[in-house]
Amino acid sequence: MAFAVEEIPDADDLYRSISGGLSADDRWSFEIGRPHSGAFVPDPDGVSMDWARYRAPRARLKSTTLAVVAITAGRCRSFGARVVHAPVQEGEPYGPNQAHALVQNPAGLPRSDQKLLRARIAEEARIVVPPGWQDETDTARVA
Amino acid sequence: MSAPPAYLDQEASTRALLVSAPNTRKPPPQVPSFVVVPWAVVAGTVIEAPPERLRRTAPSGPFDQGIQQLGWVGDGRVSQTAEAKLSRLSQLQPNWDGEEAPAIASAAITAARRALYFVGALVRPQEEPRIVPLANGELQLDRHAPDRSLEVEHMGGTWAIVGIKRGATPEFFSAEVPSGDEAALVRYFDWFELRAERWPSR
Repeated sequence: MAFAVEEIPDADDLYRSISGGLSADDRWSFEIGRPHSGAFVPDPDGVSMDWARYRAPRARLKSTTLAVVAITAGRCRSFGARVVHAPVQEGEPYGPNQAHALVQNPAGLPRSDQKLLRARIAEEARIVVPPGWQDETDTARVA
Repeated sequence: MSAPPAYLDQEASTRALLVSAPNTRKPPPQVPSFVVVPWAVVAGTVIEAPPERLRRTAPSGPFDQGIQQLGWVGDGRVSQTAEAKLSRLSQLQPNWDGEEAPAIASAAITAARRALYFVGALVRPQEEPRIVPLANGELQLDRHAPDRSLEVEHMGGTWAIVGIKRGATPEFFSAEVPSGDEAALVRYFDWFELRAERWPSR
């Protein structure tokens, strides 16, 4: 059965998996303990996030995942972004993923404001799974 | 001949000083070919433009006061570390991040090298901006400290700039400059490095 598209409430968390740089500090500023705004560069249809209602933050951890951060849908909207539920159906690339959501720039937003929006999200995102989580897992396994 | 950079027209007094007074600081660095811009003709001699910082001849403003505080000025060159990273980034193949990122655009590499060259005259080598490859094939240069951040992203022919000043309530600033206008871009790095109160206006 296909996933329905729902309205994401302002209070609900969106998770962003941080990954993809050549090194950890390509995506994370360790001086200030948060991701770069460059970690929120959108795909053509927006920045992919996971809606907390349908997926726990550790559910999609991969060996290449640096960290996972969270921000509420309402906070993203307060910065001027559109937040839409965009579930990925069975058989589609990267599917199925009922939690998939997109944070999108409003149409016609100047480049500097696009950058500002990403920087605001990066600045306010809460760390849910910190960099170095693999070490924690190893320690727990040994213990 | 190329037109002189716009900022020279805004600094006629500085230009007059440059023409009439010897430079008492260190000589300008060897300027690589990508920034050799004939900018003035004095008595039939073409003078090539060094980075804006090195054209100053006497303490005259916030930049010079800041340099005095720093007690050091860079030589305007791109560090070997940065050159090595740019070289590595220029050779990345599509899907370098495992998530379908395109190769890094050559225009972004060139723009970053030019920007680092000009910014390099202000900062100590260890404070050179970090070069960050982005999933859209562009590059970001950034500087972070607990009290403020500067993130500068190359987008097509433009640098999109964001500054964050942290306090009880963080303040956010943004700007855009054409990717060839390093004189304008460097003013935003000044804002970060010198902890300037006012965000530069264009």
